[in-house]
Amino acid sequence: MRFSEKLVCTILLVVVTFFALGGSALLYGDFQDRLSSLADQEQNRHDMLCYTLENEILTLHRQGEAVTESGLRDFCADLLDPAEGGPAQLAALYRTDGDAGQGAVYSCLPAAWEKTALPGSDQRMILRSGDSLWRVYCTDLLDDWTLVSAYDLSEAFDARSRSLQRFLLLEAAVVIGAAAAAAIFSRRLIRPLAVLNQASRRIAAGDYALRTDVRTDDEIGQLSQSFDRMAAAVQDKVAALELSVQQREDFMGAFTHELKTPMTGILGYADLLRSMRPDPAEQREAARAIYHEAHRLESLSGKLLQLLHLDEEELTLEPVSLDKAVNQAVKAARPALEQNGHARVEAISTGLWVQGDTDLLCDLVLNLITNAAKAGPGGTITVSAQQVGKAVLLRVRDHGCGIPADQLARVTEPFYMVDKSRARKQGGSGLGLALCSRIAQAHGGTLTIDSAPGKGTAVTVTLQAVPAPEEGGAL
Amino acid sequence: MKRRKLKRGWMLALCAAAIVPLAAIPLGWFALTDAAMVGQTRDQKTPYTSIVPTGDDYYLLRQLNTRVELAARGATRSLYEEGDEMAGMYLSGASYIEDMTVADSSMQQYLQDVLDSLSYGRVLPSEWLATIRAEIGYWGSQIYYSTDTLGFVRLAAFGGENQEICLLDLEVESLTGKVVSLWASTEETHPIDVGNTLLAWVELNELDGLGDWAVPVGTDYEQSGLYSQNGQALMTCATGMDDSIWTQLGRSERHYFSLQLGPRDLEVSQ
Repeated sequence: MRFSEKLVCTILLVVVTFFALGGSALLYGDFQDRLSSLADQEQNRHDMLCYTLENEILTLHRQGEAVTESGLRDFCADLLDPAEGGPAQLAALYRTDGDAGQGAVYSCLPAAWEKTALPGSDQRMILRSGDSLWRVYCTDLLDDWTLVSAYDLSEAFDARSRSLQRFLLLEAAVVIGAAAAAAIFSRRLIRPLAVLNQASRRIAAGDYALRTDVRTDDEIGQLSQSFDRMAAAVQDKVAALELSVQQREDFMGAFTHELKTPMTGILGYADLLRSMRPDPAEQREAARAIYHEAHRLESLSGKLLQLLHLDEEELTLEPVSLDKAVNQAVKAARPALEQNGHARVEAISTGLWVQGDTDLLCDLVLNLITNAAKAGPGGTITVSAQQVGKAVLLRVRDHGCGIPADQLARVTEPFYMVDKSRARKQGGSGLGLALCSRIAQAHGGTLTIDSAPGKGTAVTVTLQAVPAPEEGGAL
Repeated sequence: MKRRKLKRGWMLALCAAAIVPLAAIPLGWFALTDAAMVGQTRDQKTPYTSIVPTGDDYYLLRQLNTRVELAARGATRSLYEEGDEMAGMYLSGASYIEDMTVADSSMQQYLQDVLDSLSYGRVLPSEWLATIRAEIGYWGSQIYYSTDTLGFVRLAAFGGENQEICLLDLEVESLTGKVVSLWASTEETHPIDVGNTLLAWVELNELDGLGDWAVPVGTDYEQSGLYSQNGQALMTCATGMDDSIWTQLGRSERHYFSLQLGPRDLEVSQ
């Protein structure tokens, strides 16, 4: 059963129930008012009958004539002559004293109405005779006479039946109208749901860019907006996953390539030494090339191990003197500085302490200095630090060739090299900045790169500042 | 798919089936209220209040009132007046044997019928009726009667050597045939139920319509009377020793039975 059909059925059931109950109450109220109004008229007519009979009895008494049953019977017969016209009326006169207590002196009541079933004095009740209903009144009169009169209620019941018929016709019209209106409105109301349904199917089929764009100020509008946000999130997640897969494929490709390149050189020179008889100079050249490529492989494997190590293990951080870490790194970078045109490092002492791992911080600064040296041979490399709030900004600046803006975002990817030939010639593996970035993340910080081609590069690492410990308390 | 369509069809049919009885609520409503209405007894909103009759509404009492009024005026003359106008003529009936007329057979039969009606109406106990008839027979009394101009007929029988004993003195209103007084003197007596006798007499005289006949508590008639405030009328019934008769042998040892109806204004205790 469709939702719109459920909605229509529910609306119809509610409408019919309340319409029927309300109509019943209304008709019942009107009918009761009519009965009450008739009761007043009937009471007046009954009272008039009582008065007339009592007056007749007293008249007979005044005249000294006997009040006989036959006399009153004739009087009643004349009084209640149906030929007189007027509203239908029945009556009976009983003598309630002595042995004649149960017999009717005069009666035109239906035989089915036994005296015992009639109301008591000053009471009234409704009795059925055939298809009609009568309201019966009873009153004790003078001299132990009892008058019972009955008045036809058929007119009131007929009027009610006519009202009821009209109401049922109206109710049928209302039900049909309500069904049509409910069908139209329910379709309009649930149209956004159909759009949502269609959109969810298309998104499931891969159309992640699809949006419902339902703009209503109700719950369905809110649901649609939530759905659009969810679709956007799914799209982003899918894009991120695709990027991750791409990066993984790129990593594997680069890793394979970076392994294959030195291996090719090593195999070539080894084959040269094995299969030919080079002169000593060529042998030294081959051996030097094999050594160089093997060294690159060792460096590559070392940095890969370090990256894996960082991914797998939780670091234990402690207060570290930044000056000390930088000085150690500068010392370790001397061979690289000498290989790259005797670049000069200007390390500014700050006396700052950070929360970190000394060896990793040394590696971080060493890699950054090495990269800076490779970027601008013979230039000045500035290593500085400053505290901003609770953070320490460690910055390594060079004045080298710089990095193009469109490649800045990728330089921290493993094996990514801006200029591959130059990097390989300089013994680079494309893992330096990736490692630095991971070390910064491991310290709860970030690594940002500002660079302009031909003007140099500034790499800033954010670290967590800590106060200097007491003397001899830490490294 | 087919199963879903079938289920959907069933659900729609169920909905339609639910709507029909709901739409028919008014029919059920009125069927129930009608069933509850029929045969249910209720008090009338403004019950009829019966006419409260007075003595003037009863011919018998009106005649008695008139007679008392005339007696109070001393108007037992041939003519009586109301103000300056000549209102009518009233002649009282004779109460002494010398002035009364000997009843013929029809009058005697009339007396017997009246006595029978009293007995039949449980006003005059049958023992008393038998005793009265026996006394009249014993003395071989003749029946005398007299009438007044208001229509009261006095019937009397006398006994004793010199007709000095009034055996029966009965007064009847001639138009209605209702007895307004009865005096019987007998040698025998019989117990009577005063209360029931008086109620029977009220009914026989068709005065029960006054509706307020009650024992006049706090009056001399508490043991022997019924009083109607509406009708301003008193009915009494009594038996006892008749010590008013003197014969040649001295005070007679006789008993009496008496019924009296007359207008009276009594101060009755509530």
